[in-house]
Amino acid sequence: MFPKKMVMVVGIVVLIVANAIILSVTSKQRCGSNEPGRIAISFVAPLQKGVVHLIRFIRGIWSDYFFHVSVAKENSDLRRALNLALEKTNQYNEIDLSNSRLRKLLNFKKTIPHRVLAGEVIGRDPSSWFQTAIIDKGRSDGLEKGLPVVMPEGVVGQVVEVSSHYSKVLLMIDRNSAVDAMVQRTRDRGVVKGGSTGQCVFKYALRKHDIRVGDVIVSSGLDGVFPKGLRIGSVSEVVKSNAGIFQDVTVTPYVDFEKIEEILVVLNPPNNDFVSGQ
Amino acid sequence: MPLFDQFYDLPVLLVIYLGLFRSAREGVPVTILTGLFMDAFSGAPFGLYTTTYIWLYISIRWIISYLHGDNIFLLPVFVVFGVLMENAIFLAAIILPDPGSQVSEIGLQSILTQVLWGLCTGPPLIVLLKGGYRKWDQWLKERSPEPNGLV
Repeated sequence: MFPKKMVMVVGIVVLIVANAIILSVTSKQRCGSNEPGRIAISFVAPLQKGVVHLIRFIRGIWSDYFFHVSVAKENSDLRRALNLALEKTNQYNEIDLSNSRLRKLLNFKKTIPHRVLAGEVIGRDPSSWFQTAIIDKGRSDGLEKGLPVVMPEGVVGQVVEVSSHYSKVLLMIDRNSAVDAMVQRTRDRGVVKGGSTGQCVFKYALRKHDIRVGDVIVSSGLDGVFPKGLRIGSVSEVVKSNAGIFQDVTVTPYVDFEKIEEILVVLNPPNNDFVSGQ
Repeated sequence: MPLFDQFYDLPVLLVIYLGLFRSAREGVPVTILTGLFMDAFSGAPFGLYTTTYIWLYISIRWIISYLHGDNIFLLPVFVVFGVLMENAIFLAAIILPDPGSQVSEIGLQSILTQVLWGLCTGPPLIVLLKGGYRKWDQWLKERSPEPNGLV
């Protein structure tokens, strides 16, 4: 009855008018209760939430990937810097320890009324049956065979071989070593010889001598090699057997021969002084 | 007594290798030179290491006239023999001049530790030495000029 075109036009107009009316009504009631809006939200919001999460997830993966790449690089740079710092710290610790050892050596040097030369141990005997050390001082530094070698802790040994720049030192704990010594408390004399276990033996101590565990053994100076009064070790065991005229005295050296690094060589030992004093 | 402080004398392996696998023309000079080198560093009486290595070399050469030197199962035997022989000679050098001296328990433990180290590390090191020398010989052969004519 009505043409199709007219129906369409009327329909559009009605729609526009209704839309305008609804909009004008809802715009006035924005802050009030809006039942259709709530219904719409309850349907749309979950969908919107899902879409937003998905977008965020994808975005997060992308940014995390780049972040981890840069973090990994930063991590390896920091590790490298940390290793360098640890190495430097270790070097400083070594310098600090070396400094305190050398200070001790210097202070000890001042107490000895003899000319001394500091040297460093650069090698040890390859065999466990013999106890020697190689030092980095030789004939060119004024060393001669037979010079005593000491440390602040006590007697170390004697120079037995000398080359131009290096020398071999026979340590006091070697079986072939012998140091004329005495008990500091009682002044009883004997000879300290190296043993087989890193300890020494105080030989030719008469049974009548009063020697006790803990007594300090010092060099007597009478062998013309070691200056008098240098600490050698302390008595760790005394055995008086029923037979024999001597007692067995074990001496633990004060010097830790496993850890010697710097030593002092006495350049003018007492025999020179003794000879010049006559 | 830390375990690694009581290691055996490594040049003993070289002497054993020379005795087992190299000719006397190569073995004797190297053995003597090695001994002299060790004598220079050690506080032992000079010549003790040289003596020890020479006798060890001679002993090994004599043993392989009866046993097969190439047998890999005999390598531990040779190594233990070498370590024990060296320690025996050293002890003789210590005790004979001073008959009153004794070997302490720690000394015996040291020998045992050296033998154990020798058993664990000696044979592989000798095999490595043998392999290394073979490669060295091959390399030398490749670089040496070919002889002219036929023998």
